[in-house]
Amino acid sequence: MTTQADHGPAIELVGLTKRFGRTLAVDHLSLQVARGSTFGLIGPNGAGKSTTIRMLMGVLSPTAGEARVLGMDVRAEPVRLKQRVGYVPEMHHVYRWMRVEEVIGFCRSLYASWNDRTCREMLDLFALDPRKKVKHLSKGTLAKLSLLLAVSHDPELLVLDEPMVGLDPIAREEFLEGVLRTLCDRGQTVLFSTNTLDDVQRLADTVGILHDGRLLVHRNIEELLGTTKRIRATLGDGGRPGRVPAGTVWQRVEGREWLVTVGDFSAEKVEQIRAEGGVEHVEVIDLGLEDLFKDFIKGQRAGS
Amino acid sequence: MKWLIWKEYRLNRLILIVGAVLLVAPHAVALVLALRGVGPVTEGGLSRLQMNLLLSAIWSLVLSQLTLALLGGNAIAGERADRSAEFLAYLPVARARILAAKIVLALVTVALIWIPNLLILLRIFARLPEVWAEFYAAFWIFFGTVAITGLAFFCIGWLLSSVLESPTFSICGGLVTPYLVMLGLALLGWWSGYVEEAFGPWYWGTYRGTCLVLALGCFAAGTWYYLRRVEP
Repeated sequence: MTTQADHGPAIELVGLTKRFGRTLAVDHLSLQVARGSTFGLIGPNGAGKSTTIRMLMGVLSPTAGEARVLGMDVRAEPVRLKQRVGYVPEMHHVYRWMRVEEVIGFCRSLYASWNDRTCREMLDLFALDPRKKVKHLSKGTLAKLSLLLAVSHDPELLVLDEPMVGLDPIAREEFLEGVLRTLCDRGQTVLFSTNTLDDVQRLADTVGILHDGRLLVHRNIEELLGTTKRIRATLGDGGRPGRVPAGTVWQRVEGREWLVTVGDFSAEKVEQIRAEGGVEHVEVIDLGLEDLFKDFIKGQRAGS
Repeated sequence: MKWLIWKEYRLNRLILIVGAVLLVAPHAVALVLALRGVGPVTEGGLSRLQMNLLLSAIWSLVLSQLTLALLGGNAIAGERADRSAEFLAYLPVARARILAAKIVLALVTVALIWIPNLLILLRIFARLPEVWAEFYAAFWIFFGTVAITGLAFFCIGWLLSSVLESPTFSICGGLVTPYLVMLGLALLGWWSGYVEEAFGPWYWGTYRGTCLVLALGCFAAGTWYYLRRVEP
């Protein structure tokens, strides 16, 4: 029997807020992540990504607001929720004195849906030695073990907080294409935070940009890239930049060059800039996710 | 549950080794002394070995309090200090089960220390002559005091452990508090004019009662706090 909770969004945050003393780490964050989607959460250091994820996983109490994951209130049903969610934290605190096989045995005993086949495949993929003690693993190998533990119970939702940190380029590629791609293709919901924007552009179908605990953008990645453009206007001698169009994300004037990054790009916005006195030439530039991200953050910083 | 208990055993292995040493060492010393003919003068049909074992079993019971203090103070804070509590927090295991595994380990440890010592004592007591009747009665009151103090060490450490991140502070807090109760009662007796009876029956009776209430209260409060706390 399926319930309404089985069809709703995989993640639903409503007004989620977290304060640490006077510091506002997450500021009334509201967000929905659809089931089966791959959501990339990006933001500069200290933006509140890990805090949000920790609240989402029920290991940090929010100051205000609600978090529902797979239709469940994370505070009301933490054990049932964790059975269905795989999580890779930013820091891997696996028991250092255990052997790899002991960690696996320990986790296996706690998950009802543990899949030995997936676990063996991951062991082979990452070439992990089951007899090795965790304290003897390198940072990258520990990250691989963490990933193995997060996916071996076939979770409906996989939450990854900076999962690629410490992985060498080959392991990273194997993980991205071999594991994450398989999970995405299987229809499992994936939420991952990262500073590597290439990964987001490759894998995510939706992206969220977090800054100072607030969600600046939450859009389909193709749509975002398609509608956010940079307009480069060349100013004539003595020309000064005029009024920026609505939806301007960021602007900069350097010499005769006036750069304006606009959201919801349209030909009218180009015309508006062209119509400004002193503009000699206008050019529209497509942005990659990295430039777009930088412009959003710089725009926020300039405005604050 | 088996894996959780195993995890507890591994996390507390050093403490359990200390506990085993504190269990065995007094008896080993007693045996060596008896073999060398050293020990209290025997009285009323007890051999020197039996006399030494009587004393070593009492010592072993007293020292078991330290093991309990270490187990209580390290119970939750130990995992916070090495950050493995974070790992456990991401796994689908109820807090009540985590606590149950810790309690099982403490109970098994206490049983392993107390049962052999009590068996030794009971065997020796069975041979005690009439002249020792007063000692026999006093022993059980003494054992009650030792057991309740051990329980207080464990439970106060348990409460501090559930609140703090440092096992050292939790253990020290657990160890110090019953002695503060002891001191407080002595001062109370002194101030209230019962100085001559400062360490009389009322004193130990009040001490045991206070420690028992304190222990049960701390255990309940520590358990409640850990079960309600969201953070690891």
